[in-house]
Amino acid sequence: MKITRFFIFLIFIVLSFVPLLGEEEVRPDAARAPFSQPKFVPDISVILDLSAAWSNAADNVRRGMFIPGFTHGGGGEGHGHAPAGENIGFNFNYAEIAMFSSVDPYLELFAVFHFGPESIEVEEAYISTTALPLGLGVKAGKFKSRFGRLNLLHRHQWNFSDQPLVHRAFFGEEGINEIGAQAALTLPVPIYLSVGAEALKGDNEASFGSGAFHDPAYLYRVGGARGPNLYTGFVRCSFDIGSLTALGGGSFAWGITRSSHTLDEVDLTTASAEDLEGLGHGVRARTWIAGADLTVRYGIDSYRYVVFQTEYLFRRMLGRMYEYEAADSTQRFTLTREQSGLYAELVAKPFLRWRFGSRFDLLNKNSVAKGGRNLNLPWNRYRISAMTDWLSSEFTLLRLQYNYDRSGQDRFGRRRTGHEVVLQLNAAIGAHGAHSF
Amino acid sequence: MKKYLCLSLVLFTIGPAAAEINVVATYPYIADLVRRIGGGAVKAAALAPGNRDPHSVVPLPSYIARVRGADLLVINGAELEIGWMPPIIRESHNATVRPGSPGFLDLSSLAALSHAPESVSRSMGDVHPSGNPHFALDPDNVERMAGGICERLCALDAANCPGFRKNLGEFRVAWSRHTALLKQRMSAAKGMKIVQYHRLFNYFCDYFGVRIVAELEPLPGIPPASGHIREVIGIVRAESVGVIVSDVYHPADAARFVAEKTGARLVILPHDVFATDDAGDIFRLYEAIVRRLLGD
Repeated sequence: MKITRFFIFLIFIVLSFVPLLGEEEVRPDAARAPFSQPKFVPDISVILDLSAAWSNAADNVRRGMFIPGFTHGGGGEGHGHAPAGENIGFNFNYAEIAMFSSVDPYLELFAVFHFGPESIEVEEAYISTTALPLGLGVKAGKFKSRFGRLNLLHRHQWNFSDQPLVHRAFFGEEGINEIGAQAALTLPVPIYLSVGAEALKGDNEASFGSGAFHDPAYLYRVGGARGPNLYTGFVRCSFDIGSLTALGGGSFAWGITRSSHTLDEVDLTTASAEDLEGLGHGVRARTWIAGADLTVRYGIDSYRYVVFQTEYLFRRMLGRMYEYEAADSTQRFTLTREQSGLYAELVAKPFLRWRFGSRFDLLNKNSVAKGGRNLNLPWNRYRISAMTDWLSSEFTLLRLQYNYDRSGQDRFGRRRTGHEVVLQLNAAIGAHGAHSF
Repeated sequence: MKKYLCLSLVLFTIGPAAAEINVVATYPYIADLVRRIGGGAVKAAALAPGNRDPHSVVPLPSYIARVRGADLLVINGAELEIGWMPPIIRESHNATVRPGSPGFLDLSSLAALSHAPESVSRSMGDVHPSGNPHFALDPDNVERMAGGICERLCALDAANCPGFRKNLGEFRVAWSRHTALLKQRMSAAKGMKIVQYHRLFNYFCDYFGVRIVAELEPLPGIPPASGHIREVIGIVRAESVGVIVSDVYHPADAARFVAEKTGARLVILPHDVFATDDAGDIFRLYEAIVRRLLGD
């Protein structure tokens, strides 16, 4: 009797919860967390990039390698933008967190936080407009410039694990990634035709730079740039012929160059003989860089394609160079640099999960004159690369790359042949990233 | 002089919009539906080709130019375009067709979706949280979508609305007659069992009474491995499956192998308008699927 009563009681209790359960199914969060906003969380994705590398030269030798007139020795800039095979052995290249969401009906916000082995930085963070008329788009914040083809792309979208030589030489490891504003317009014509311009702060040290400096002897003081000191303009055009797509563009960057390196900033273990001369040097110049690029893609079917991509860049720098000879003496020279380089890559995806590619890098022109005297720097420095990608899904990439590098010389000025092998692993989670062409 | 230049610029930019509604669709079946409802008052074209994988379309820059000039953008939705459409919309900077505006229509909001997973993880392959996105192969969904397209065209062009409604009425009559005929033909194959490559024909099979026994993909979007294929061969034999279905864009090797091993018939089915030569519009697409399934 007692047991029966207990069961009736139990059934009653259980039944009394049923309407509550039903209601909870309809509005699970509203009752418990009235201010919870899970639907307003931005799209978030995390990208991880790891690698293992082998080279015929030790790490300190490789860090001291430089290309005369183009790059200094001294190794990576230390903020996780070095090539995937920076060190022999395992490399944690970076982890990136990307976020995207609409701000309001008129604006969108996009941010990428870049976690290097020893640093965290804002890779990109910008606001772009969505509702301006006539196909006009305006962007403001820190963003990758639309100069050329490769600069806009994130590293994990590159077909190779490292930058082409000419990009590394002219724009540094991060490319043109600057604080500023951009306006771009897609024109109302039957083919894709886009024009745009950017005004940027111009901190890019490889070709530009904005800071004031003086020589150690205080003989010369060079004022910094006021306001934006790097301006770019670009035209891009694309059309399709059947399964063939061609995308070409022309870009121009013009800015002020300010750079100064004193000896105490140089890593003595890897500094070249050239770096160790005197106490350092400074450059005050005006620089323009013109670029032309072409990408041709042939789509065989949904998963197979062949793509050819090439970019040519020309730099002209005119100004003065200050050589800090000693604590009380600095020499001033006129400086003229006319340099150019290109890369061309051919990538084929003949199977669902495999991609193969080769790249040719060339720094063809290297005219540098100091005080009206040609320095006779070496021309036609080159590198040849080959790579294979294995894609387990569209979210993972395993890449094996080989570089035959004839571009650099070691800290003693000897030209060396570099052999590098890089095994790179890249994986993405979170919101489905959709990439542009 | 300057005034004329300005005037011609203004005319150049607003001129085409006044004539007919420029509709850009993501897939060919959508463009076909829009043309049927819109008639001469619309100009509709699809971005993606009909014979390619609808999940992995290449976002060509020319698509940006086309969306830039669109008055109405119609997408399939249910995340089918997630891998290629967002940058196209973003870079076209066309406020008229932004999601949420009257110039943007997501057909998945009109269709009845099924097979939605209870939970999602990428470890389950390419799953779609809101349901199987290949809902256009359900005849009832086609009718729902046609109705929604008509409503939207009316909202954009009230003057031509009576014409749109008339076209919709005619389409509905023709469509129900067509699907009834197809259903009748399919009744000959009632209880037919198939194995498909990807979860592409679920809606079609649910509607026409065909039973899908297995997929060649172990998980959506993951290509078949030998272990899974052996498993499928076992299922085909055990269930005496008569037809192995593949689509036009996946390699047919795996399907052919299973068919040869088991004696089942290999059938390549179109999934969209223009996927095959005999699927030139929505009517012929359904017709082609039925004819190929029945082996006529």
